[in-house]
Amino acid sequence: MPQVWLNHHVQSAVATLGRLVRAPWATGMTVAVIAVALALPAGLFVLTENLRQLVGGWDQAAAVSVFLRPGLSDEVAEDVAEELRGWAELARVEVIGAADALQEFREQAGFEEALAQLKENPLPAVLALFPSPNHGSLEQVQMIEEQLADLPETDFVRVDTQWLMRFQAILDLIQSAVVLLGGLLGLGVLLIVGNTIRLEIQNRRGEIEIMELVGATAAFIRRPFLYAGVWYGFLGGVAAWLLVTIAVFALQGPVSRLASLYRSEFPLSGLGFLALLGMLGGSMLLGLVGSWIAVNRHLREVEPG
Amino acid sequence: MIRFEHVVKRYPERGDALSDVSFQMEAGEMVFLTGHSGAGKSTLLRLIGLLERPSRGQVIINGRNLATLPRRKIPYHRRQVGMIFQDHRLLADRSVFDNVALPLVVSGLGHKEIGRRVRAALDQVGLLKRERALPVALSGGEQQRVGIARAVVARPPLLLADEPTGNLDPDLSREIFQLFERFHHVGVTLMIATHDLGLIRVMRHRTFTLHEGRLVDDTGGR
Repeated sequence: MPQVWLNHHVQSAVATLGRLVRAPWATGMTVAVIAVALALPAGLFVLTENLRQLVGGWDQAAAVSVFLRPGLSDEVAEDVAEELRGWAELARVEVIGAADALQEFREQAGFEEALAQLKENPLPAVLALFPSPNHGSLEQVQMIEEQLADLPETDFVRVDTQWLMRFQAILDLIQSAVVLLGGLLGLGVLLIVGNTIRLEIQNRRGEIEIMELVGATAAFIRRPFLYAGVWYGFLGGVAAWLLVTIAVFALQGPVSRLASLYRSEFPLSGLGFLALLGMLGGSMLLGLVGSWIAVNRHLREVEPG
Repeated sequence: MIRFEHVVKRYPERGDALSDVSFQMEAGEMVFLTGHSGAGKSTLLRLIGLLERPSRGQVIINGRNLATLPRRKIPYHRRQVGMIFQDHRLLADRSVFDNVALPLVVSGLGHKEIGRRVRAALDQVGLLKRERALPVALSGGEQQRVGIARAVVARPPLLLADEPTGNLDPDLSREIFQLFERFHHVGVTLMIATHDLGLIRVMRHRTFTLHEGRLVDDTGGR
């Protein structure tokens, strides 16, 4: 008996797919609408994930720079650094001596000639501090900043990662918006599938009536419509994945060019395997629920006459 | 087999289609149901097939009171009742074979068994060679025979026919009735609504006459 039941489901699923394929225009339109509705949040998700990755790459940049008073020797700078290395809030402390800073400035900024005019080094020694991972929040870094400002050797303190943290907060906000948008568009998918199935039920009204006359159970009549919903979800999900992948592929060129201007590389990542599975599962579920609602609302209205 | 007890069917828009109808019919009986159009013949058949439920009174089939039958059990009841309609009610986009197979498909029979039984039913109505045809390619009489094959393919103990020869000429009508006679001889219970009084007289079966929703004449059971 379970085998017969399984056979019926497989048959019904395959037959329903066949029916959809035989009406390529109607099916294609529905699938395209679903795909666009899904590709929008999925694409935004990919975008924010990529930005997050980009920002994650900068985590190793110094979070706090302490500029020591001008004229203090590199030895004093080393002493201060040694003291700071004892702080639990800090993971790492690097010293950039005044001479090194000048050298670096020359190499990077192309101010070589201008700098050559100067008789003495105008740059102070700088301590680059990396907060330990559990002291990395904005508030905690601000506390560290205050403590550092109180040191007698300190000229001023600059928090480099403030904008980074703000950016991350903005990313979090965008991602929440993506979730909201996804929910809204998911509801749209539900309605699209529901409406498509409703029309399908109306078109096949005569057939349904005859099936009821010869003793088809409600489950038997419902089954192909539910499978149609699941297929719409699946096909829409695959099409949405294609759209996102094409978009990532198309953007890879310009992004690489932009990255090369910053002397860097940035390979865009698309929808990962897990995200793809999640999207397909979600869209199939939406299709099933959408058709379920339509079937329950409208099949009852069809009575053999 | 079939018992009606003071059955009333009232439609809100056109009053009583059946009023206080009572009768009893034994298994294996063949009964004609006659009367003017609108006398309630179709309604009576629809109550037996559970296409409708009575407003009052009891319909008892095979000892089972249909009023107590829950909605989800209706399909199983209908599998015990073969129904034939004046307009055949065939699926236009499916072959003769697929139309006749429908009752077996919905009850979950295997492929081989379906093929065997469908061909047996088509053979009975003389349409074995037309199994690949679409209904539109058939004449009216052939279409009706497909409808009959569909009604008997699952071998239900009870057959209902609502004006099965309404659109057919006398010769074709006689053929269809001979087919019913054959089913009668193998023990099927039949109830046939018709106003073909000539044929009824020739065939000498028990006949119910309905007039304005009342059972006014019953030529008597055995």
